[in-house]
Amino acid sequence: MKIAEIDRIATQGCSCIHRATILAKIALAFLLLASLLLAKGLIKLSLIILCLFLFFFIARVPWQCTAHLVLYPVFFASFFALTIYRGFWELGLTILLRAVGAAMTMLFLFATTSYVDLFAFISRFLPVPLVDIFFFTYRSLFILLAQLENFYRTLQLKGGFQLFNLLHNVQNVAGMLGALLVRSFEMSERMYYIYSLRGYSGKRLSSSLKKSVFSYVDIILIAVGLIIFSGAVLPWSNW
Amino acid sequence: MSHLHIPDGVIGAGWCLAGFVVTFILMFFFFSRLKKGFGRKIPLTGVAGAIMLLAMSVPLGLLPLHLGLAALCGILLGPALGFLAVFVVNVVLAFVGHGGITVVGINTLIVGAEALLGACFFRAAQRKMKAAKGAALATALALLISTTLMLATVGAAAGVQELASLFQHKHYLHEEELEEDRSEFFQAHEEGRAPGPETAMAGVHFLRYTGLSALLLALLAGIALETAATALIVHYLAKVRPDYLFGQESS
Repeated sequence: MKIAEIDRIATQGCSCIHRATILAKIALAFLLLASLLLAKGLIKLSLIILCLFLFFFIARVPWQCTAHLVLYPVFFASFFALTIYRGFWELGLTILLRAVGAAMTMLFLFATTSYVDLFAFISRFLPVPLVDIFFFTYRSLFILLAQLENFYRTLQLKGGFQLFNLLHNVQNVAGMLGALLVRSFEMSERMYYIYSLRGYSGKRLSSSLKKSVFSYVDIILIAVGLIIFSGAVLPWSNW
Repeated sequence: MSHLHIPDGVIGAGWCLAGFVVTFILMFFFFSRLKKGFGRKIPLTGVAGAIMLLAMSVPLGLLPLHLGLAALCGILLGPALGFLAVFVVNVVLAFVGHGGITVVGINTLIVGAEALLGACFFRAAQRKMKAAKGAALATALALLISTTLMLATVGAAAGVQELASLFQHKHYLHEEELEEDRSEFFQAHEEGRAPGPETAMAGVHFLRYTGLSALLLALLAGIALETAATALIVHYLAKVRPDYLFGQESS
């Protein structure tokens, strides 16, 4: 899923959007999402997606890292669009554009915001242990990803993965995941011991949200979000 | 396995909101039931969530199927922590565009049901049979129920009559009905009250197109693969680290 690559872009990116505060980016994402869900008409939806492309360009997020992730909603939305199409091509296209736009919005937020800030923000609304689970999931994901890649490469080299033999693959993949589980659970125990030494008792690991003053970039982002939202919700014929 | 992958804007806002409300009620209930020492299991839950995410990215050949391991998570962590892990996984997936952010609640309820039921069935089966057999039975049952739940949700969101029609072998709409619908839609569109996809889907009969047999075949293949993989993993764990399987007391 290239989560590692997106995470690198989010933490090392140096565009003005990367430097904006989390509150401004969350507000923008929320407004974009609401605009996509409330907008009626293909022109409005296309314009919102065009704005999203512009945001990606300004944030200097490499398109090749996120393009294939947009293909998932395209595939699933196409399925829904085709099945409820019934001759209304506008309806099918609306579903497709909404799905792609929403996925792009979330990717934009994820690719321009460090996961630490993102989880710190959601820790305001969710119970602390749940946010800690987020942290541990995200943290162990990258460690285990490297191990899984090694396992998978070994499996391929030793002929354990054959393109047309599904049962053979399931058997070997299950063995691989079993070994990975044992390693990962041992790793989680070590993690707990290390965090216990630092005083962790399952109550608070998540960092608090940084108190930062709104800069002009934040104000611009929110203003742009509000303009897009107004344009999406208000009927154009009245203007 | 039964992950919906429904993008944003397809299911109505009411359904999405209801999904979130029920998910949060369940999560708070689980938190209140967890014992004091559960902090020790938080890293384990996080790691199990990561394993679920990684398992989804492992290809199984040419078929577009992937493992979910939600039932296995339930077997290893217990129902409460398994459900919480599923919620975290769904949120992370939504951040990378894999399933809509507005349907995270519904997805959590459906996939979380696998973890919940998998854990409960495994506990019951464990007393009478070996771990691998118990895991296979628990996973198969949990997946069948969660898949039914998924079909019911999609069916209800797209019109309750739709699911019933699957079993009645009704014919597709007549051309006149289609034309009538089209003219209504365009009239509404011209008057500026065109229905959104959610409204339009309320009367749409979409499952019929996929073909019941093809749909059931694909779902059964997925259930069989996931069951086999879970049983094999549990068999392996029972040999090397049986304490991982049976240490569910704290959750």
